[in-house]
Amino acid sequence: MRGNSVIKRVLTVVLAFFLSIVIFVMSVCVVAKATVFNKSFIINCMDKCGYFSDLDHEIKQSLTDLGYASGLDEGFSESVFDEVFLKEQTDKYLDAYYSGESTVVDTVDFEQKFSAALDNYISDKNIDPDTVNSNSRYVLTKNAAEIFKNNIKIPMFTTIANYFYKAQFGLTVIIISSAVLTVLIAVTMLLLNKWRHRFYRNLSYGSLGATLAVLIIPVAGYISGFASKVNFTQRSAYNLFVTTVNQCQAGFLLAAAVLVIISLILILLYRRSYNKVK
Amino acid sequence: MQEHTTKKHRHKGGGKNFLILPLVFCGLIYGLAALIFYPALSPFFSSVEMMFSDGDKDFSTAYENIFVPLPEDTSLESGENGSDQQIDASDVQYPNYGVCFGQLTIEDCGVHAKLFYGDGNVPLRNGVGIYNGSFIPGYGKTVLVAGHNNTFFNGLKYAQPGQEVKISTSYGNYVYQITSAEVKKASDNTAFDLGAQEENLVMYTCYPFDELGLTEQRYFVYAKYVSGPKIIR
Amino acid sequence: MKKLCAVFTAMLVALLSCATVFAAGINSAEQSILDKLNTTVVMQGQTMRIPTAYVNQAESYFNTVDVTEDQAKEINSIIDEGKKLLEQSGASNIGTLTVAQKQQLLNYGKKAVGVIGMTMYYDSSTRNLVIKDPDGNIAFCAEPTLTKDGTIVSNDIVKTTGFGVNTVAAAGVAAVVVLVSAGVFVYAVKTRKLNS
Repeated sequence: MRGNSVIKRVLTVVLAFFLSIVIFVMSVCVVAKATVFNKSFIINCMDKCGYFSDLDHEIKQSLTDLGYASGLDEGFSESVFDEVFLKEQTDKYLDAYYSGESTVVDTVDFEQKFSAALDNYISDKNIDPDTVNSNSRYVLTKNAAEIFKNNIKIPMFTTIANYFYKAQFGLTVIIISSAVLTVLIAVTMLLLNKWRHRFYRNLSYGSLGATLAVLIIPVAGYISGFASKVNFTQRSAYNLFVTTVNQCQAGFLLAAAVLVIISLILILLYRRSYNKVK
Repeated sequence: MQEHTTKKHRHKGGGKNFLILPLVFCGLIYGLAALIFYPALSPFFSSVEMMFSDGDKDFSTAYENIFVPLPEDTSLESGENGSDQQIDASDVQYPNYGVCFGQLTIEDCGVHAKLFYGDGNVPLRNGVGIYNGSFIPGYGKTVLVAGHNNTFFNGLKYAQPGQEVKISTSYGNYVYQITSAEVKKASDNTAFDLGAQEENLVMYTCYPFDELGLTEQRYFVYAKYVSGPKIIR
Repeated sequence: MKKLCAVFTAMLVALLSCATVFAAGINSAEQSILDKLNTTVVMQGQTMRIPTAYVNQAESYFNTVDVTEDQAKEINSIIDEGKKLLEQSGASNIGTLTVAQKQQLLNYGKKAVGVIGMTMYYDSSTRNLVIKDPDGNIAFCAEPTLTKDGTIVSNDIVKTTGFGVNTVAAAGVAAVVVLVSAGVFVYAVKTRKLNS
């Protein structure tokens, strides 16, 4: 009898541990799905950190350098595109990326804009169009498009694309499975315990364990300050990365807060049930 | 569920289990994660680690300038005396990448440019740059200098054999004499020799000049060493 | 990632921060390293060598430091180790090395630069390997390459006068930089793709 009781206690503690794992995994996946795997979140981070303004400057600076080698004045790059165009193209790129369609930046729109800007430049400077070698112009446009493409691309996105797509699908499956498992474990714990207050107590052990585990992520991130140590030589990419990481960490803090509230509710329920049986 | 009222409930553990067990669970979660994922991911950790480093991030496009012009009468004369001068390598302040360390002038072509070590965007935006797989003036090997054809090296189109190229640095003033100018492809293996064992200057820029567009062609101007202190290695 | 893996094992430092006084010139120990760098490695029957530009950077760096005989010995033995790794790898180029092999080269590089207080990192935004000296100056930044013996490829050396699609703040062509001081030499190789 007593042996059975001990076995049951051990079993419920083990179940509480598995519960904490499942809740932890579910929380991480939910945060990931709401942040990194959410296109709107990335766009929001971009707006927050002035990404488009920095990117606009960087691309135009590179185009100016290209212009120095191509017979173009310094002010040419300003006439090619504006921030609104940048945002549209970035949005298009992210749409294609997140939908799994493509990881490549489409430069057709840019090439058309660049070509139009070249035509305007030629006409404004009274340059005889016949003196402009079509092949040279083509090479110039392609090089400019390459600059544009390399700057629009988010660093590392192409590298992790395969894993990203698999993870996107996997996240949904994991979240649903975790939710189901959470319910199953809770029901099992309920059936194993003749005392309701023990049921609530074991549930709270699980949720508190998950809370601590989730909380470690943002705390470790803030303490290490790893986000600001990333090696991006482009300001736009650097600021985007730092902002994204900070927002993700905030997401984990929010998840931890929710779990804390759930744990407190469970502890409260435990206390009430316990007082009834005292 | 039944609630027993006949038996006295024994409560063990107390409130401290609300702290101890969750902590244990948390530790076990990360322990398990390490056990499961570390073997598979450890090869990538070193790579990922390399993506981060301490130190302030500097996105400025400012450059360091270590050029302190030597007096005009220092080693500017060509001829035997000028070419016999030497300087110990320990007296030479070797520039870091991206640092302005001299001035390049071709009076006959109207070329006046700051000389950088390195030929990235910042150096070439502000002057002309030595490819860092070549050497600095005075070293006795190839000095390969790049510049924009629309800005600082636009004057190269006027380069003619016999014209003088002057390079001033903090450790010496150098004179070269242009021997030829040729149009070659950027990928032409014979355009220059980085393994040459004698001092020679190669300047290049995009070609053609003053035309819209980009080509694979480059305009190479070759110059032989005339005078300046030789770095004793 | 391919480029990252392909680069490796930094050779370091073309130019360290300028000191008003530093050991200068090429001594016999440094010359032995340069001679070693000029040797070839056979990968899948193809004889490859480090481009002259890389060796030049090593030579430029040696003018700012003094390498002892012991250090040179250690460096040369590590060069030999690196060559052995490549020759026995079964790969035709760095890009086709296994992850573990690439990691080994990478670890050599990190250890090497770390001994003299230098740091090596990968710039994800530009996909280049970067090495900074203790003062934070960029000493090396690029993608190293190997050339086939007998050929001199200048594709990445000659820029579009300032603009290069694959260049970064430093050099467009990777330079293998010899990391001295620690007496650790890291041998960076990558089979070069010849432009068609």
